[in-house]
Amino acid sequence: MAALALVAVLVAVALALGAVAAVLAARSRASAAADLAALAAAPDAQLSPATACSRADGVVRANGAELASCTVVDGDVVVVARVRLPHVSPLALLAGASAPEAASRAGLR
Amino acid sequence: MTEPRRGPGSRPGHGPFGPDAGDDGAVTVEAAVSLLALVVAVVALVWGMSLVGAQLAVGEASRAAARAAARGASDTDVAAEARSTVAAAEVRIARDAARVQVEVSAVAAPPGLLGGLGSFRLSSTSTAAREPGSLP
Repeated sequence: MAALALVAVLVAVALALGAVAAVLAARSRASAAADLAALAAAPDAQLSPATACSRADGVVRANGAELASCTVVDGDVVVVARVRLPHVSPLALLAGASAPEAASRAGLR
Repeated sequence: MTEPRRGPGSRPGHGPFGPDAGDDGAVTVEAAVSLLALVVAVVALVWGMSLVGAQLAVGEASRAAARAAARGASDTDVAAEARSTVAAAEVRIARDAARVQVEVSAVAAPPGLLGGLGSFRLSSTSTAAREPGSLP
């Protein structure tokens, strides 16, 4: 009986860790996508924000994320990328992390 | 006939050779089995966590390498950038006119004697735009 309870606890721990891992991986991917997209968009930020953001969108997509927002602030482009988790786990929902986002800012100086 | 001498705490009919000794060792066996299961489960959990860490590191390496490649770094420098995060990384670089794609992969094998149980190939691909003025 005790062994059964122990196994149940371990399974719960494993599921929780799996959910945390999925969120971490998604956040890391979103962060990489935002980073690389902001770099790609930076050269166009001052001349044409629309071109900059369409570049950002292309790079974000190429990195398996989606563009949550793209704005130009003081000549810098600010890119927010989002990665949707393939399986939305209840634990991730509880953590409010079903679609982790990451922002990155870049500009020419 | 005298009664055989018994140690403190022992009762008649309850001992290794007494009449109801049948399930005496059962608790020990159950404890041993569940301890073994516990150890296996904990090892699996720790291994899983280290895989997660390794995957995040591989992702970080591919991002750093893609940044370097976007700046126009040579293939050698791009690979070196990836290997500064993941020492045993295998790096593949694909460029087209506008983009550069870097795939970093590494084999994660369980530590020590468990190494033969199976290993995973972790990989991550990052794509960056080639910056204007970077070398072809």
